[in-house]
Amino acid sequence: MATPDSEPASVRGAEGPLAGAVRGLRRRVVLSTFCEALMLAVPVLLFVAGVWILVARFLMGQPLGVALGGLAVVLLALPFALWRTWRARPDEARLVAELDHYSGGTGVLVTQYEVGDERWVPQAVRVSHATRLPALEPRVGNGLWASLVALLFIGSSLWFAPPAPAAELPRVLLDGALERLGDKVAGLDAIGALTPEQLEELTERLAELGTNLDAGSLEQAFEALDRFQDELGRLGADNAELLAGLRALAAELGADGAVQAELERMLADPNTARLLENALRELGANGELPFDPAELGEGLSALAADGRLDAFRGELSQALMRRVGDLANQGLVDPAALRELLNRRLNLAPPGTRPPKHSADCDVHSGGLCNGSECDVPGSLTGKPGAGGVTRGPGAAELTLGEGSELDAELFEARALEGGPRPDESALLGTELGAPEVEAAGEAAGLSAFDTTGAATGSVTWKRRLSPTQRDAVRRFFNPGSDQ
Amino acid sequence: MTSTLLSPEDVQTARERAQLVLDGLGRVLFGQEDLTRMVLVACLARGHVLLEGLPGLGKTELVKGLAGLLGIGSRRLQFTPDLLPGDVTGGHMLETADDGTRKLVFHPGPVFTNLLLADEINRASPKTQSALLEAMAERRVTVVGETRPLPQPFYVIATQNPIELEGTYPLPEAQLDRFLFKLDVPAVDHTVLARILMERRGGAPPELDSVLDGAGLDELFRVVDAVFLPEAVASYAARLVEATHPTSALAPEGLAGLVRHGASPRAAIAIAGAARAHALLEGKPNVGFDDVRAVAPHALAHRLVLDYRARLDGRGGRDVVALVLEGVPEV
Repeated sequence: MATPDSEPASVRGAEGPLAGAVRGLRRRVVLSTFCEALMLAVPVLLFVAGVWILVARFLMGQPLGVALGGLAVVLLALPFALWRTWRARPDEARLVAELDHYSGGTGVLVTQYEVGDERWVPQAVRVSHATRLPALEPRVGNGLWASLVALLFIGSSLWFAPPAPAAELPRVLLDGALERLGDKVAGLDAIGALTPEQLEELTERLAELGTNLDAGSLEQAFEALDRFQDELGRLGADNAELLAGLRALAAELGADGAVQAELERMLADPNTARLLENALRELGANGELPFDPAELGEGLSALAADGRLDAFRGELSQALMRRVGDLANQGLVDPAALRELLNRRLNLAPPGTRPPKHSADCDVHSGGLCNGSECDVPGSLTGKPGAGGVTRGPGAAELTLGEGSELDAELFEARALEGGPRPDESALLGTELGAPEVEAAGEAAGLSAFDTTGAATGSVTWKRRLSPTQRDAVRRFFNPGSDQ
Repeated sequence: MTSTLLSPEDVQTARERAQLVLDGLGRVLFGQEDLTRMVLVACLARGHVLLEGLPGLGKTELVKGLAGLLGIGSRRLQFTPDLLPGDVTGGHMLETADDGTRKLVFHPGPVFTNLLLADEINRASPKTQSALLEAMAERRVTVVGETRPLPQPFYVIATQNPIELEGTYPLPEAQLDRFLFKLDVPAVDHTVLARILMERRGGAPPELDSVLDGAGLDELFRVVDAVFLPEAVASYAARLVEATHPTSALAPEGLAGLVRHGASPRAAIAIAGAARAHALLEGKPNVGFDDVRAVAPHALAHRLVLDYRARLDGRGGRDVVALVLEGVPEV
């Protein structure tokens, strides 16, 4: 037998008789690995390129040439495949083992590679030559299918054309829109739907919009015009609704054609009409007085001072009081505010009209107005509590609106609560005749050990633990003979 | 690397000697070439063999023929339920010397031989079966504190019957692990039976002359030990053994539900030794993947502790080993 160390190096390793077979197998393995790596990267990169084409064409608006430039990313598959092939390159021992495997697994080739014995070289060469490697079958099927899908994806992204860019708004359209807005403001002003303050604000905003048309972008100016138009529409609608309601109220108040005509004339003044209408509408709709009652009074006074209410003073007064009476019966208004209204009503009353007086027996169903000589004002409006109306209380006690009830003050008199139980510090805890047993753990309490309250019983009462020094003193007291 | 390869002449000589044994066994058992080949492989690997087969298939004759061909001593021990450990190992007996003194004299049991045929080993109690543990593993016997070595070589070729399981004691795993191979003795077809009828008178095997002696057997052992085991092949054998463990990452799919415990490292050693002997019989100075594949089923199947699901599915150890051989790549 011969040792391999004594053999020529040419019979050992892959440089020996197996060199050719090993090189051939290495080429096959490298090619297979390269193909597999390539078909692993190509589908992914094709999908990336397809996404880029979609984004470039549909989102970024890039031309087709620039979008197709994304396909260049597929070239990255080549260095990736090379790198992966380099990483997965098989070593010689594995290649020889593969050769041995395909030669029938006799172990001759791996033995020759590991040991190298010239005596067995012919057999190794014979086995090597007889080796039939299988056909090269790289696993690229999935990669091919995925690449096909990616190519279809790219084709579809190229097939559909991106939407055309939005056309710019011509300037002339915006100018026309601005002009129409100015006409609309003028129209609202003409029908009295705008207060002077509103008119001034809208005029300023129109001028600002015109300035922005010259300075800013057309799209922004168009949006600003659109918003302004919406505001005008809402304002016009509000005012139109207001005027329609006012006319309906006038129709309700007007008892005859003269009153109707006078109201129509009054409504021609926007400020007066709005003041009057707002007051009545809010009064009826919300059941409360969100305005200052003086405003209504001032408005009515202004009408009266101009003599515009002379013809229907009585009818208007009756309508007002009927409305107020309904609200009072429903308990929806503040009596103080109603009193103020009535005061104003007195000022509006025609000469010779008797001032109203308070009566708790007024017919509230008729609005609290007495046609006779009894009363004109419902009792609930006098502010006297407990007399009915909105101030009718739940019991016999008089109600003091705005302040605390007297009955409540009696029933719920404030009293100081009794204090909780206080521990009696002198309570007897225990009594004994002998020396007390104390615990050192109680020394930290630092409290007195003796309770002299029990001295009358002839015994010593303990309620606290003793410190060591006190304990000795006590022990000596009870046991004089003890030295400890 | 300081490994050596056998010379072609050494390999050829050893192969011829082994072939003589095979030819002789072929004259004893007709139509059982694979069985006799694996028995010889186990003998060359100095391993014990467990033969399992129906009665009348020639197990006993095979052992007798092997002992005669190898020129070594053999004894046959019929295992029965009342067999005691002392009946296997031997024991001390009180004897009277010529001078009239009495003393305890050790009488070796049937285990003190080269080739022990343990017939129907599963019929003895576990206590008696365990008497063979030390002999099989360490080639020695300890009785009453005295350890005596067994003659070299020492083989145990045990037989057991796969049927008539009443009154039998299945071999424990520790004992099974000490058998290098567990070989199934298959039935023969009609052509073989016809040959037996034609050539045998009364079924008696022919008288065989030994083809080897002690020195020749030792030389065969030396050559077997010199068969080279390449690293790639050793790795393959190791991966095969590891793959039999259900928790191993190398375990093939589906094995986890069939095996409860995989093969021991002793199985890997057994595969390597048997593969060396098998390679020599093939005339090679080295072990190949094919040698490992050839001996692995016989060396692994009886060492696996199967799960109950495998038994329910009717799958045995050889099915599991086939699954492992199919699932573990050579390279």
